[in-house]
Amino acid sequence: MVDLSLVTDLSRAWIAPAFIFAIVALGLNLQWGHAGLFNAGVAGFFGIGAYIGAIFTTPAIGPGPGGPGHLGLVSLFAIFTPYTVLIAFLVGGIAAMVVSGLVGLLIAIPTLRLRADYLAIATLALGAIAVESIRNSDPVTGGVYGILRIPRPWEFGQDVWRTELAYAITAGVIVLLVFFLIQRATRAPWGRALKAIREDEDAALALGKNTYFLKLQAFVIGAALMGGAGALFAGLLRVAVPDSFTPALTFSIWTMVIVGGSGNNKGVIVGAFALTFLEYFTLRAKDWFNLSSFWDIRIFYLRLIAIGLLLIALILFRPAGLVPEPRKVTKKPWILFGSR
Amino acid sequence: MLLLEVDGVSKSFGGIRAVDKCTLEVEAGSIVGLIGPNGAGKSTLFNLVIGTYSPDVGRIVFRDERIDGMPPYEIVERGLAKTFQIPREFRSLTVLENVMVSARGEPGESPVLSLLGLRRVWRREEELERKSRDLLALIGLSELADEPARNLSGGQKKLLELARVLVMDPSLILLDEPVAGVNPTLSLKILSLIEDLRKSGKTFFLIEHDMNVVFNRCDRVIVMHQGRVIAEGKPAEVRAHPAVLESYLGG
Ligand SMILES: Nc1ncnc2c1ncn2[C@@H]1O[C@H](COP(=O)(O)OP(=O)(O)OP(=O)(O)O)[C@@H](O)[C@H]1O
Ligand SMILES: [Mg+2]
Repeated sequence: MVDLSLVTDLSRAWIAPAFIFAIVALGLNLQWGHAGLFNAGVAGFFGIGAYIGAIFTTPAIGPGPGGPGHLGLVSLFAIFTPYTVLIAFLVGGIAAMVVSGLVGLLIAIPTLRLRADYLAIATLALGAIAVESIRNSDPVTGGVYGILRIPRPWEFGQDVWRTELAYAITAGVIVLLVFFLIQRATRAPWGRALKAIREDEDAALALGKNTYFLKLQAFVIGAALMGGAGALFAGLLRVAVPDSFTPALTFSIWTMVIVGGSGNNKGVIVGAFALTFLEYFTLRAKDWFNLSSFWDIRIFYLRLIAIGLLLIALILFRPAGLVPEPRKVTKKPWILFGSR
Repeated sequence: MLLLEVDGVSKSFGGIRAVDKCTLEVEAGSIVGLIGPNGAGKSTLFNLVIGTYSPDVGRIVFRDERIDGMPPYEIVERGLAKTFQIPREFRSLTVLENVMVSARGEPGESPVLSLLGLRRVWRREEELERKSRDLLALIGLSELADEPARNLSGGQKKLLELARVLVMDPSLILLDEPVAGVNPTLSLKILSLIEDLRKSGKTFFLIEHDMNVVFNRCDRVIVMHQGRVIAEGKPAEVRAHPAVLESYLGG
């Protein structure tokens, strides 16, 4: 018989996070890899989504010994019993995308008209502001205590491995769907126009492209994907705390995109799996290899060094990433609608 | 019929008056040459017409409609197109994609329409590909269609510039030194292509330093100097104009 605890562990600590970060990486890749838009506030969009998702799925708790409460919109969906959480999860996921997308829109509207640096500065600020606002909005977000005991749509009680595997599969299906949509849109003339903007925005403008509008579309869709992934992440961790959404997270997502292959949608998924595996490995290595307690703490720092070395090696030997951008952008997709 | 009217247009960059109360006209169906010393403001004038810059003062009228102050995509939509003096190819797109991406009003450039996968969207795309390949054949770049544009030589990049504006099917084409750096046989071919297109109803406004081209191919010539128009008329008139001789032609 297979060791089901391994299924639990792999799902929870590697596969599901890899899928979730793959969605974020696809969002960042749309912004940076395809359209050349710098986003230094990935964790902010992701965090906003995580909290929106959590608020929709978690029952309300009033202020009390457990810490401050939160809205607990899940009660709105009680009429759908026994699918309450599933419906709340779906609605929360969509709301997370909408809110993160709107925040992206608000940032993009003024800054995308300006030089590229301003978007970088504004997103950097958003990352900081989002976390601080979350930390200080106790009645809605639980403040520093966060939101705890976030439920998932599929729970199997004692069969922990089933619960974990089901969630990983859910995330995987969403990755497939997102990948299919993004791949299709970026291989269409839309993606070609985005790449033209990335290569030379002034030239694209003079050739008659509405570069502002195209950039806005790419940025907002990317931000929405980050938000949706955040909602999934809250369900995975079962808690949402402000400290999960630090600039270190933004940095990891960037690493996934660069390592995997900026501009290649498949590549960034590979990057997400590779980097989350590295993290999983350092977390479990001491059990697998019976490492002494000397390595317990040090291995986490070694991981950071390894990531640094990996990035340097990649820049030297494979500057375009593990799976480089395809040479031709446009590909004919399957025709879905319309007659000959 | 007047196609383009530039009326008292000025543009300064800091202390430099690049274009200074410039007034000129382009007749529909003609080939008009724009000449003048380096730094006279010719490229800046083109950038003003296409909307890259907006004039400090003055009016620019295209087909009886004011276009100054409009963003370039609205101006391009109305049927103007411009090439760059120094080629601005999209480096990592292929040569063919460079041409295709320049087409106007492609429905697939909307993310929603591209996701829906409508057959008509992709038929447009197929037509565009055919048209773009024909244009590449015309300028002799067929072989390189699937190469990244960064691999082209300087002269080939100038040719690509030309293909990118032709695919837009504009009625007024602004060419900033279209044959500079292009070999003689090919530049003859390009000039006869321009002639053919003019016969089919297109209008050309071109900057050129090669006086053979200017005086043999253009219907009218406009001379700029220090941001102003100092002379204009038929090639023969301009060639004998004292101010032009002094500031530009030498002699
Ligand atoms: N973006 C800009 N910023 C500052 N100065 C500029 C800018 N564009 C043009 N100029 C200045 O305006 C003047 C006219 O330049 P322009 O490029 O229009 O000349 P030109 O007639 O096209 O010359 P050439 O024949 O050498 O191409 C020059 O003095 C140039 O330095
Ligand atoms: Mg010039």
